Amino acid sequence: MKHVLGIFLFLLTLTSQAQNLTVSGSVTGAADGAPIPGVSVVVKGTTIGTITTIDGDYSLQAAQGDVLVFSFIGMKAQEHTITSSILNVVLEEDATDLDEVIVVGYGVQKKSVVTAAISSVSAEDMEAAIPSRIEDVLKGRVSGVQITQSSGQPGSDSKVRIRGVGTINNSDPLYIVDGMAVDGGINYLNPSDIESVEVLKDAASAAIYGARAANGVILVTTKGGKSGKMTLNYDFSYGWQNPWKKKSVLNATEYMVLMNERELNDGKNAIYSAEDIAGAGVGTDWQDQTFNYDAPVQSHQVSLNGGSDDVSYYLSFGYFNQEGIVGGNYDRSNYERYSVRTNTTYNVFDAKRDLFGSLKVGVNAAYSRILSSGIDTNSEYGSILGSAISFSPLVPVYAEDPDQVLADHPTAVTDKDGRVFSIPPAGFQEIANPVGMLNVPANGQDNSDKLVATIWGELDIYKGLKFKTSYGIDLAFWGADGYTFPHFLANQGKDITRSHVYSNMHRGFTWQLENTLSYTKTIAEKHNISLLAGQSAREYTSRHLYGDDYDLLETDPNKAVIDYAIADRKDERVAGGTDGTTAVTLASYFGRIDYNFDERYMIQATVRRDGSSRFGIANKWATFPAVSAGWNVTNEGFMDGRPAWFNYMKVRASWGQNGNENIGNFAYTSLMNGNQNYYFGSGENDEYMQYGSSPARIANPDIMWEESEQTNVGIDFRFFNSRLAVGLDYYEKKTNGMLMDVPIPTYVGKEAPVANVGDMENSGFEIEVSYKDNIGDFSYNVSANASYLKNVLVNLGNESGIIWHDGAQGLGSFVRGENGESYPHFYGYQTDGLIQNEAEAAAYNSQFGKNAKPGDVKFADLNGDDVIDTDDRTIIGKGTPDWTFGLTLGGEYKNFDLNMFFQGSVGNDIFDYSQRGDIGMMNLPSWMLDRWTGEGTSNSIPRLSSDAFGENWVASDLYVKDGAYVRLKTIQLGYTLPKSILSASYVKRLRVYVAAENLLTFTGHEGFDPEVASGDYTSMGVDKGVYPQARTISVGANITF
Amino acid sequence: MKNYIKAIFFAALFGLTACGDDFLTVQPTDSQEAGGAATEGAILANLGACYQILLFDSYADFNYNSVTLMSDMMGDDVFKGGGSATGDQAMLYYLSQYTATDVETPAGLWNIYYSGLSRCNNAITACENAVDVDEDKLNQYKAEAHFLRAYYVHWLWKYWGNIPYFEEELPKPYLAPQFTADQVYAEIIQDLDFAIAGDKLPMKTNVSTHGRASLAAAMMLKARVVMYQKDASKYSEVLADMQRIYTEGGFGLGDYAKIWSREGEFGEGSIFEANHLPEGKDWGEAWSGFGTNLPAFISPNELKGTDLLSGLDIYQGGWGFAPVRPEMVDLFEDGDTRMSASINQFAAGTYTERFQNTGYFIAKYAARKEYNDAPYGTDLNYENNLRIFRYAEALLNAAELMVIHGEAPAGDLTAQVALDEIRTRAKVDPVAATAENIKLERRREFIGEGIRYWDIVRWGETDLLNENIPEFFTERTWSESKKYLPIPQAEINKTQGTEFELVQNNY
Repeated sequence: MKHVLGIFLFLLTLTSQAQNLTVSGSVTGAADGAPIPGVSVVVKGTTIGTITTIDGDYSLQAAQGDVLVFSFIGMKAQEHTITSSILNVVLEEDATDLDEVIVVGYGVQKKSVVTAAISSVSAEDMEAAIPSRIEDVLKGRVSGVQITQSSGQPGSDSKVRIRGVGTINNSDPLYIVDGMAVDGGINYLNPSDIESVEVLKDAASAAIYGARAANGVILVTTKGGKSGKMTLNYDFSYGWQNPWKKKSVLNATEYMVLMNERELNDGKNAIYSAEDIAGAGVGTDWQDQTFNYDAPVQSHQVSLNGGSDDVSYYLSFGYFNQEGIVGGNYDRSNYERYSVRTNTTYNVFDAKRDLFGSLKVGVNAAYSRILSSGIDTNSEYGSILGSAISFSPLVPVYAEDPDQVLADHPTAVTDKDGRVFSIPPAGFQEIANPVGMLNVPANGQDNSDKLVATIWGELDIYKGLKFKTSYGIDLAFWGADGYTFPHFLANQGKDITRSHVYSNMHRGFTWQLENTLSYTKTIAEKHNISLLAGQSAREYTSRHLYGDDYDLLETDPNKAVIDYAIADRKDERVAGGTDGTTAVTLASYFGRIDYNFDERYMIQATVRRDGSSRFGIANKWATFPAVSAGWNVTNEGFMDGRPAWFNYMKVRASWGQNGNENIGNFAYTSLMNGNQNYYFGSGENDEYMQYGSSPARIANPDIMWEESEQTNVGIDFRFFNSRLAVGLDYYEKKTNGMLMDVPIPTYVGKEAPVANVGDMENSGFEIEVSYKDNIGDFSYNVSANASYLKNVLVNLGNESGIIWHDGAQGLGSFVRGENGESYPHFYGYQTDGLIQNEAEAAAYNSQFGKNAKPGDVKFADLNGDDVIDTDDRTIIGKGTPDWTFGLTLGGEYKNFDLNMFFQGSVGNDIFDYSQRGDIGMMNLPSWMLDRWTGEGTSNSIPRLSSDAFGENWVASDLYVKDGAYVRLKTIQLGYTLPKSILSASYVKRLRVYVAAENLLTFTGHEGFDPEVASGDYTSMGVDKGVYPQARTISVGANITF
Repeated sequence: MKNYIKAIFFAALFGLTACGDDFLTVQPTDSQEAGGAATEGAILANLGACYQILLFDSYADFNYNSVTLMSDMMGDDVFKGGGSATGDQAMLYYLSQYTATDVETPAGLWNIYYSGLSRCNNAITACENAVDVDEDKLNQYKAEAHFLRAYYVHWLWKYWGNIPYFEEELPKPYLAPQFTADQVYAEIIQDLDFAIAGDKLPMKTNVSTHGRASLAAAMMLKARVVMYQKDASKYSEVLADMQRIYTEGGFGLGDYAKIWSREGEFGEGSIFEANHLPEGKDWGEAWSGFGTNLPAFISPNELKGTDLLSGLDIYQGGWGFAPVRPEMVDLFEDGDTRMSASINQFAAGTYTERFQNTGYFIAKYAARKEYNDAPYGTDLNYENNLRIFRYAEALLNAAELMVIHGEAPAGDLTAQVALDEIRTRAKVDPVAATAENIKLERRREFIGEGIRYWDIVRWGETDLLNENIPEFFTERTWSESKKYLPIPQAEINKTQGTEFELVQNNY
């Protein structure tokens, strides 16, 4: 303490000797000549300084010959040697963004000294998009992040993969919102509350999150208060959504012709007479009947922000409501979100002294409530859209003989006016009248309440030494309620005889305590050091309760609750669990050293040590190191003579290891599987259930995290007065010890132990380019990014090197992974055109021992053994793209602004599953009209036949279509009212706009949407009638009071 | 203020050092960990899990691998049926044509019965670790587990012959040696001899123990296994067992038609059944629930009509598999009550015809109205119990052992007595107990119960299986190598390069 005081006194005497002149002046901006308040004016090499007043004036004591440094964010700093007592300065705007800071883990960093691969999106970038979810904010705007929307169902999530799929297990990135790691998705966030989103892509930037960072980290920073008078913002938009295309299927006439042809090909009689066909017309267009046209979507957002010396605040309320384009008008596909956020910072004291200089405390709290409902999507088993494209066009929407239908099926589904829906003719199995499905007396709604709050305090201890502590909670309640009343729609699976009601409730709670010490110091003006050390602990617990029951007393939706159901005890079901089952704990220590010399040479080293309850006894703790380095080439003296258009160049490199702790709970032990029950005895009195249980799996106490090791090199440029910015990155990312069931045979009779056995490799190239300029009053900006990704499943760790995933009815599995190949991929037979005539058929049949006819498919005998069998299958495509890209175009002219945003992908395929072999009468896609009907008519669409269907339509490249697409995701035209009109009112700013989403889509795919990712990641590109994203036209306004 | 700041600071310092391994240890609360001493409750829970396997084969690990049905498809009583030859459950078609492959093989069956083996091993281990369990009860539980293990393994043995076998928890690398079919036979017999010796089990179950293994059940299984193995050295033991069932069992034959209804479950002729209840199974949940899919599987598609043979209007539609071969109705003599109880016939147009349609369907396990009163997954939740061993088989086994295999009768049960009892119940006149008549009677008695194919194989009458009937899309040739199906290739892959590498059957 004495020592510290000594230094302090020494500095005081130093500075007092030098003050012998009062220097004053004003600071103005070069662009408009207006005074700039708040400019920092400092005597170089001292702590003496001031800031300019509201009128841009300053005054301070200095000595003749001292150098004054004038700096202000967004302006180029200037240095002037004092020669007189008056010094006026004109600051120029700094065209580069290099002085901006970006958020990194546990801190911020100046862009110019960043050595890692971090992409960033700011609030301004989001303004033109009206995003409903955070994933929409990132989609196509940053390189290296592949985001595929699952479906167009309101509230549906997206698959987010940072630098590829890192593991066959959980590859989701880690989301950190204002320092708090948030579990269970982040759809609770209102995108309008977001200030910035940073994506930590390489291992070095993510390493500070250690065991959870293997799949990348997304840092979300929410808006805080801005000092100054309170402002009130109101933003709203209202839109109309429509399907952007229909899938082309056969109309009634075409359907009859093709069904007849198929029967004749099979040696049977035609089903429909010439008269039938002549009178058929187009029949029912089930898609027209099913889609919800002009479905509304609206968003309202009110926010307040402001601040004084003591406190700054941000308060917002948001409301978002979207009706789905399939079933939204029946409350079956809807999404509604209410959100409230309050972010407040208090300056407890700001004493402008070295010891305990300032203390800030703050609270960030957000609450959201989401109500949603959804329909089954992308399924061949009688989903609503699946039925709309495959139900017979000959069947009318309403039954032609309603009395007979009601007599046969008293619970036949009717609309609200009592009109009876048609029931399927024979042979449609679970495929039924899709409009009837929308009208079934059943419904369900999901609910979610989430509170995420962090309280924090930050103390300046001594000259750059800061202590920060924070305590955060994430309290989430979610559940669902629903009911089904007896109804009849089809014989198979849609004949519900008993009413059913269910309800489930979940609670998840996370607490997190973090403490960090940080220190920054500049030595001899050139050595910039910054140190960080911290500790973190968190625990997640959850509980849930589920119940369902049957036989409701009344068929009244308002009374569809469990208490109104009276089924036998054995039909009722309950399930539940308490905290211990899902408790997860994580304890961590971490540290980081940053050093740069004169902003020329940068180096950073990070280490994190994590202990997790999920790891086996033998491996409780893990350490994750990372280093990165950078060189600002243009800051070197020898670069001074470079051409004027060459503004900036930085070279970066990084290496690090991270972990994936998301391996499930209790994977290291063997638990007993319960409820393996059996009934003994007979008769009401003597029948009893024997509870049964057996060990679930073989234990592996050695289980640990999956490790990912990544190397990144990058280079950044600025050209033409920094108008053109280019960033390039190349990386190699290897996942080691990917968790996989040990490859034991099924005959062991238990689940295999899980072990760290697999390896995956991703490598890729990313480019981000932006340019901005103006031509007179017209200013414009263009930014583009593209990412190339190559994924290889190096080693699955099982014996076969193969893992099978999704399939479809009648085809078996066709999505899988294999050692040495891209993961996942489509697998099946390669075809070699069609057999065109009898001679070709004879040759084919004699070679392969087949019984094919002209018009059937020729399969390639890839292994040349003169047999077409499963060994001839090969990789026939993949659902994940090679290239993904985004392009943003923006322009402003006077009060008008226009923004366009394109996105797309190349190198991905779609597995277009359109027919089921076991439902011969289902409707077919229109491309079937181009089928083989004689020599030379087609070489890719086989003849119609039920008998040969199983042979012709096995999983093969006939199903695989090019999935490349380009989409004009958003376009928005805005007009800001001139200040002259507004000056009389309370309104400070008013902008109105008209916007469109998914206005144009260029794709060769014939299905509803080229973006298909429902279900697991492994179903990427598998199209069975996906819920398409809507084309939305909307109007909106941004108003500031 | 300073004190407060100090407090935070010290809290932070503590935080930096306080997170130990205690914090990182969490306990599961919904499930105990495996192993350790076993109370009676734990033993019973292990045993319950062994019995549960009986409920799985109709939707075996998500495969429609009903043992009885697949047996009959390989035989000459039914066709494969369903949506189409290879577009709908292709494996069953290949099985019926003797063209199964290492991929198209009933892997679901393999999986569930090996699970059964593993669970029985655990139950036996639990019995060995018993604490405070009554000696007699413990012996009974052990005998039940041994019987069930023998039952599950005997199906694996019949379908695949040369299979891996183990009785203990497998240590790393979790692989078991492959036994020859004869070695497996010896293990099965050992388990059954254990279950039979010392009367650990009651001869017959009663109203409160129906569903459990009994002495008679163990004897019946031993008879099936011994006769399939053609192990003449044990014929006399088996015949003695049959006679004991006849004299001590108190079983009767009852009305044939009533056996297959709800009321006939655990009836007087029933020795062992899989106890199905209409609840709990669901799509995507193959390893739980109590119902069976078999009735839906074999009933005519979208049925609206009345059975022409019995005149009954109690049946409902299903998926149209396993149509009964048209000549089967001619197998029965006039007045044989078994025909209408075994076969259904529906008029064209009262149902949707599917592949290999003959108009005839299996009646025994047919989908009956209100037999699937489950609130969900109705096609999977039929309550029809699978009759595994019936008293009639004991009688016909005895007759066969005496007439065909030349065993001398040791009690009052002669081949003629046995055959007469069967025929009297069927309301047809007595015939002489010749080898031919006994075989024919067996076929009539057990149609649709998965017995015929194995009889043909063990009798060596496999010429009956060769056929070429284009009308019904079947052309097949049986040879000795068809006795054992190809082992699932995925299983072989996982043993490659180890000392436990499985050798594929030459199918």
